[in-house]
Parts: sequence; C-alpha cells; structure tokens
Amino acid sequence: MLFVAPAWAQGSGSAAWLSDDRYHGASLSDGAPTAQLTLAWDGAGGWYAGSQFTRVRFAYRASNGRDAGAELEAAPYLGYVRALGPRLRVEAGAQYTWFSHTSRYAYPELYAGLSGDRLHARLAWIHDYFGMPADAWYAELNGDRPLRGPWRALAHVGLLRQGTLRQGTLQPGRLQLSAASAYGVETQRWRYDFAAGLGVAWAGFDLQATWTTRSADADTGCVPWQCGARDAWVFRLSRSW
Amino acid sequence: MKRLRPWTLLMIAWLAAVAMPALAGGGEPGESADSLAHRQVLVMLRVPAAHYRPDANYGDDYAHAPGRSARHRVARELARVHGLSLHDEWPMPALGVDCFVLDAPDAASATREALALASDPRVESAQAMQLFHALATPASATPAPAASPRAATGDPLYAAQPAAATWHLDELHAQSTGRGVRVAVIDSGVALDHPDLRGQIAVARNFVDDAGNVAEAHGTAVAGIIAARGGNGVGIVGIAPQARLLALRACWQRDAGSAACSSFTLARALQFAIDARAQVLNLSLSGPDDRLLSRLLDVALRRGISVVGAFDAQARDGGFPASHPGVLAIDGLGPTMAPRTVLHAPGAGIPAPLPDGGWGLVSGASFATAQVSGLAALLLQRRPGLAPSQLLALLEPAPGVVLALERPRAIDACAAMQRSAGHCVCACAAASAAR
Repeated sequence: MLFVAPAWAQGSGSAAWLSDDRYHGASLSDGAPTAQLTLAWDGAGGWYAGSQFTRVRFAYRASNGRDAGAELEAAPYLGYVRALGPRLRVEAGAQYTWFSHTSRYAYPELYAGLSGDRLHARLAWIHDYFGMPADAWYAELNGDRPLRGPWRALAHVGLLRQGTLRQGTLQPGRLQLSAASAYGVETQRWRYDFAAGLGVAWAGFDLQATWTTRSADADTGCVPWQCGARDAWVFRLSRSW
Repeated sequence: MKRLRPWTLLMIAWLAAVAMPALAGGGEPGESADSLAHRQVLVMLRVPAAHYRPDANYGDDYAHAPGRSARHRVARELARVHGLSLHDEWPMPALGVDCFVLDAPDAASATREALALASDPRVESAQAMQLFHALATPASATPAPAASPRAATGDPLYAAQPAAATWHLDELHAQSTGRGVRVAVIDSGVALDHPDLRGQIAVARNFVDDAGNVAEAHGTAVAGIIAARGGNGVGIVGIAPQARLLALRACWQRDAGSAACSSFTLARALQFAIDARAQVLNLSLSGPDDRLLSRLLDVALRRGISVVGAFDAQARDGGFPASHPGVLAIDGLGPTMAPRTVLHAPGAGIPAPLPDGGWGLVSGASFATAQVSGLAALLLQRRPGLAPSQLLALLEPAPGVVLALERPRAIDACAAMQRSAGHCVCACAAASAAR
C-alpha cells in the first residue's frame, strides 16, 4: 500500500560559526572567527538556488591607512543538477560574490561539476577574481568517507590559476598598483590549497575540524592581498533547519 | 589563539545545551517489537540530487547539507498534524529518499494515516510497516559425525550435509570455493565467534536495535550453511567456505526457531548491502508484498546483485520477496504446487552452527535458500560479472532432464558448475573409465 506524490520543492538553511573563513587557501576573515548564514532552495526538476552570507574582514589597509573593517559577503548562486546514473551526477551553475564595502572585489563565476557518492569535482571560471583585471580558474576535488557512527572524514584539494593581468586596466581605486606589482603583471600564478579533517553530525548540529594549508609561493602578491597564515586549524559548527 | 578562546567556550556550551535525544524514542514500556511494528508508518521524503553549495567547499559531505534537517522538520510537522510521533529515520540514497518511521496509537490508525500521508504533496510515498518471518523449524538433535574422506581432513559433519552427496560438494570445491565473493546475510544476528564462523564475517551490522552484535539461531545457521570454515577440525564446511559474509541483522529472534523482521529493518539492511557492493543477497524470509523493499530489490538487481529468496509454501503467492520478479525463489521441502520459476534445493536435516557454539540439524526453505546463495557464490567466483538473469539460467535444470510436471524443479549443482566451467565437473573419473 503505497502512493507516490509529485515531487515538491524544499527550502532549507544553516547558520554557522567558523574559527576562520578560509577560501581558496586564503583567510577572508583576517584569521578571526566569524559567522555565516546559508539559505538554500531545491526545486523538483533539478534546479537549485540559494545564497550564502558571511561576515568577512580583509587584512589589507586602504590607501588612506584605515583598516578596511568588517563587511558582509553575499554569494547568491543558481544551478542545475542531473543524474547520469545511479552514482553519478553532473551539474552546472553560476555564482556572484559581492562585498558590502569593497564592492570592487565583486566577481561572477561559472562552474560545472561531476559528483559521485563520495567524490565531488568542480571546475569554476572566475571573471576578475577579487577585482583583479585577470580571469581565474579554480579546480577542486572534495571527498568524504563515513566513519563509525556520526563521524566522517573530510578532504579537499584545490588548484587556482590566476591569469595574466589585462594591459591598460590598472587604475587606482580598482586595484592597488603596489599589489599589482607584487602580483606580477606578466605572470600567471598558481596556488594549491588542501584541507583534511573530521566531521560529526549530531542532533541537527554539525561540527567540522579541518587542517588547511596552501602552497608556499602564494605568500607574495597573494589575492586578496594578504591571505593570512599558510596553515590553520579551522573549526566550523553549524546548525541547519 | 587568544581570540579563539571565548568562541570555543561558547561552542562547548552550545553543544552541551543540545545534548538531548533527537527522536521521540521507542514504543510503550514492555511492548514487543512485533506489536510496535504493527502500529508504525513509513514516510519517504524525496532527497534532491547532491550538488554544489558555497558552504561545502572544503570537503563537506554533500549528504550533510541542510536539506537533511529540513526533511526532519517536515517529518516532525507531518507527525504532529496526523497525530503520530517521530520514532526513527534513515537515509535511503538508493531510492533518493529519507525514510522516517512514525508511531501511531494503534494498527488501524497506522493504516488510515498511511493513506492520508501519501496524499500530502511533500511526501514521496508512504506505507504501513509490515512484518516478515523466517522460514525454518527449530533446530533438533545434534548431528552425529559420520565417516567420510572429508571428516578425516577436518569437517566431521561433512557426510551429514545433504549437499555433500546431492551436489557433490567436494567436486564443486575443486572448481571454486567462492573466494572473495561478498554474500549479504540479511537475517537475525550471527554468532561471530562460533568456531565455524570465526574469520568468515567481513562486516557485521545491527539494524534492529543498539544492542551491538547479537548471536541468534536463524542467522547463525544461515551464515554457517553458506560459508562455514572448511578443514578446521570441527563442524561442517560451508557451500562457499571462502566467501566473505556481510552479517546484517535485520530480524529479531522470537523463540528458538523463528525470527521476525520489519519493512524498515530490512530496508536499512538492503541499503547497506547495496552500498557495500554485495554480490549475493540471501533473504531466508517471507511476508507480504512490500513496495519499499520491492524498489530496493529492483535497484539491487539493476546493479547486478543476485537475490536469493525463500519460497513460502504457506503463502498464496509464495511469499515476498520470493515472488518478486528477478529473485531466485527457492523451495526446500517440496513437492509443492509451486510456480515453475521456483527451484528446489535440499532443505531437510541440514547440520548447521548454533549460537551456543555447537551444531544442530535445521530444516526449512530458509536453509535451502542459504545453500543456493553459497552455490551462487561458487559460480560468481568463476564468473564475477555474472548477471542475476545469467545466474538463473545456469541454475535452471536443462530441458528434458526433469519431468515437465515436476514441481519444484531441483537444482543440479554439478550441471550448473559444468555450464559455468565449460568442462566436466562431477564424477568425471568414473565417466572417463566407463568410456
């Protein structure tokens, strides 16, 4: 005795406390704890959308010497996912990342991904990465493995390729010239980042502890400007609903 | 690090504050598992396909995305509206759903509310919980060792095993021992430390309760018949002594000879077996047709997992899952008026391990089924890519070998192995001499 009803959209959300907001191996919170809110919507036919809001704080000081201060990062996204088989899914989508104060850092990205049960690969093309007049590519592989009970192991590896700066686009206000000089106008830059750790889900809460690191040569001219410590333990406690 | 300290304390306080049970818990005090299952409803909520989320970019498990909590919230709301209580939940990724168990005040309410819930657009499907039972008679007297060449080499009860003579087990083992084939025993608990089972279990899980490993009669006998250790100086040899067993407890023992299981415990075990890439599923049980389990069996069969089920002569349709298309239905006691698709294997007076560490004689379709699961493992070792339909073709008696009216048709294990190996398998020396 069973009846099948039509599919129905689901809304969900999560609030998280993070000891550090690490993104592509760099800290977006100046190494300090911060908070994050995510709202998500899953449609019936494979469409999904949502937005993430994070309190960020860039380490660099503005040209007038004042601390840039804390600000809000909003990252709305829209995507479509489709099953290729019982254990394989393909997806494509777009995301726009915006900052409330340093709006010149805003950038759009397009991505495509391939997911199995335990491994998720994604390739993103990012236009004017953090306001740099250069496009970037980011490839990442995320994996997880269930352990005993509510525990699971987590791992992530990512590779960022920042392209050469477009000539004639450097201008005060859009980009700090000193930083551009450090970045190197003629060069491409590569940066990898890696994270591994444990997660535990319990009573609607999820706690993750991961150790993260990034490649050594990214410390000079790192985008966005000062990337924080290379290595860090990151704790993330979230509650979803 | 200084900046971290107050946040860390806050985090610990937060975790401590939520140290409370997530679910409503079990039934009434003293209520039996059978009685509780009769008043339960299963509700399936669809899980959207896993996808990218900005907050999951450091290896966060996509399955732990907030949707899980959202579905839990919907299930709680459904329970409240329908006068039920949320009892348990389990993800069923093979079907793309999360399965929730809701308790109703009584069996009539459960049936009525399952119908009502199924019409809610948030619900993918709903059904009343159903019960299943093992197909066996209680174990009888300890079998007596008999003289045989194999007894001398270490399995004193070998000669008492029906498969020794009927299936020429020694000669089958010269071709295959089921090495490395993963057989899921979805049954009551298995005695992992029994001398004939020690080292034979790759994985053991309990899907009935939190009691850990529980040694019970039916599951122990089934596991031993499939894969008891050979040449260890005691007991029997399994049909596939080098197969790897997944001992998945989905049934609970009612008394010395019978066991019961529910739609939910069986579904959890089936999901685990599919995830664990079992190659054979042994289901020595019977019950009413069940849509949740049917869907999981269809997934298993599509993924090339062979399913062997016990034919229930007392049930009008032979019982579920034996009646399910694609499942190898096995009778052990025949002759019966079984459908032509049902096959027969020896099912009476089989020596098998007992949970107390000894051995007893067991009978029933359950144990005939276990022998066929072992035989399937032997054939799968030789041909690992064997599809369920190909396995059935190998096991079916050749036309003309059996009388058209014979019901059920007996499996000829030697002929099946010969078809798989492509050469003579049993009594070849005698046949050569005769030529």
